[in-house]
Amino acid sequence: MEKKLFHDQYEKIEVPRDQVVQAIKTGVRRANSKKKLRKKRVIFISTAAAAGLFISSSFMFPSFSKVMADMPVVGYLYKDSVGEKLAAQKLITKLNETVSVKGIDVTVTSAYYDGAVMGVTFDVKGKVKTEKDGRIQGFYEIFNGDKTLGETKEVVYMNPTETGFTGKIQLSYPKAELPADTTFPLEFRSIGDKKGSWRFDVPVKQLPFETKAVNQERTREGMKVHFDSIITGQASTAVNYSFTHPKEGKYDDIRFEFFDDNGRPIHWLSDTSLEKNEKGNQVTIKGRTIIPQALKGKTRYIEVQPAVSLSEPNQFVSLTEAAPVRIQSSRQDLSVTIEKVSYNNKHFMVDFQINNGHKMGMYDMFYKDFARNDIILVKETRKDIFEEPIKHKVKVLNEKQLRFRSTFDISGLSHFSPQKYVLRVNLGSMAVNMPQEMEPVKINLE
Amino acid sequence: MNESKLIQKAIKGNEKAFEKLLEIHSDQLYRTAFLYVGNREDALDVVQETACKAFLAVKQLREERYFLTWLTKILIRCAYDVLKKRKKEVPADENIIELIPGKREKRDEALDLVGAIEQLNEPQRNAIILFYYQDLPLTGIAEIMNIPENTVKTHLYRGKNQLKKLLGGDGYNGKETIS
Repeated sequence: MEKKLFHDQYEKIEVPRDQVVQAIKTGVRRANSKKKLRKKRVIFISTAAAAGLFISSSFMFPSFSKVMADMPVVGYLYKDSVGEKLAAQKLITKLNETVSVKGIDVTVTSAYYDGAVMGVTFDVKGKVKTEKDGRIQGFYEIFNGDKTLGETKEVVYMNPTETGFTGKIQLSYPKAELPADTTFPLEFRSIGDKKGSWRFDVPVKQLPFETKAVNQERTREGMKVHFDSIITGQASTAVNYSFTHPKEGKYDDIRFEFFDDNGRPIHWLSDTSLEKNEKGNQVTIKGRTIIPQALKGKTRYIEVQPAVSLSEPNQFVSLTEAAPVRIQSSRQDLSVTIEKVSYNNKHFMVDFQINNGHKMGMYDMFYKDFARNDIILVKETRKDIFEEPIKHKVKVLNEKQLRFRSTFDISGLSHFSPQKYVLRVNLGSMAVNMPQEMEPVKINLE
Repeated sequence: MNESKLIQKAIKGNEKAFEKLLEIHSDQLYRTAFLYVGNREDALDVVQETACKAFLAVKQLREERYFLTWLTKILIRCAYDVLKKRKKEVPADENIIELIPGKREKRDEALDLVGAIEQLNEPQRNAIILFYYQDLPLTGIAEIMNIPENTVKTHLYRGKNQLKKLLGGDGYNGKETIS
């Protein structure tokens, strides 16, 4: 009874929906500006069993429709500044091709191809179920879902207009060679609540652009990044690079930060992996980063700050080993010291210290999360399988020294024995957030 | 696209999926925030802060079925941050005025309860909000609050009694007090 009453009152709290949605968007945008220079990446996991599953996706940097949430203007979310700039210069090709399926007409209305960025606008007419906010959601695929390319499927939202809905897609051309004149396959798989196939071959013609060879490189810990060239389009800039790393570092990752000649950060739009080549023990990935503005004339050079995050394999601590046991990265200064291990038939307790108490610029919450998620009691036979961890609590023993105590509830395990269980330490999740910086590179634009 | 797909995408850092997910739960997020902070402006701030923090950390979410639990945890943390800040800003006697019974009559019943909930201590408030408003099972609350289930029960019990006192129904049983 009481519960219902509480619940009714809860329901009575009036929700200013638009403002809440706006708050969510603003929050995400703020998050983005905090990590704007960090790449959008796939989840990093390094357990062997799961690795198989993820090998193909380790190069799947989401390259499409990366929204311009970095724009420092409120309400400027999801706008395609490249498209707008080109539209203002009348550099967009008008198109008018309609496909009708299940009473829904999708019309591709325009397209552009600038440097390495493409954009398509389209209208939707027909009876479609809208979302709460009045928009409709569509799901599309490009290049027929070609698996050799990065991500090829994406969700798009369409805004209501007087006659129906309108939406736009922006993508970075996913191949190394940029054809001057081409069509690309675009298929909508669902519009609102209707499933179907609205297929187009969108004709695009590349606007005049300039390519400048760069030929500068930086190395660190056996990795090399070579800046190949820079493409200046009408309203966008593309930086082509090659990233070479040893084969065993296949989850290693490179990221860039860009600055103009006044040291101001330049926001980038997307980063795409275009090609992967293996030679002996070396793997080279050709990549391209898109900056959604033509920089020439605005800055004399761009300064690129590359940083690599070195992947780490999972390491395991046998429970029969006498503590303290130190788990150390062989490639970088990361460690976990298992100080004490004890257990009875209900609880398993482990005390540990992270990075010898050196925070290395990371915040406390980061280490708490690491302590909770990445030092886990697992069954030896299933140690490489990623599954829900045994219920455990983490207590901070000493915040300054990064010492923690995890207590695992093993009362539910039928056959706990220290021979059958191990501790899994995933330094990788720390490494991925603490990239190693290389010397910055200046790319002259003049 | 179903929620589980959205969560998977969100974990990979897909902003749209992430926003969509939060929009799906926006009523709950806002209302819970409101219960903690008691006014629209702060509640919106809490939602915004939650969206920001959650998006920064979403990659660390390992189990998609814990998405909402995880999000709620962040929300509560953000709500307390706002409250803490407010404590520093608001002079003490303004809170005392809130306690004068006569003033309460004009307020909406829901707001009345919100006011009372604000007077509870942190664990009691968490337990009450999560149990009564969010309909979470005890195990879920224990998970969010990082305490054993029995402790949750204790907080619930004490919190309820405290609420009864605050709402002026001291000495009566639950039904009469809050209904």
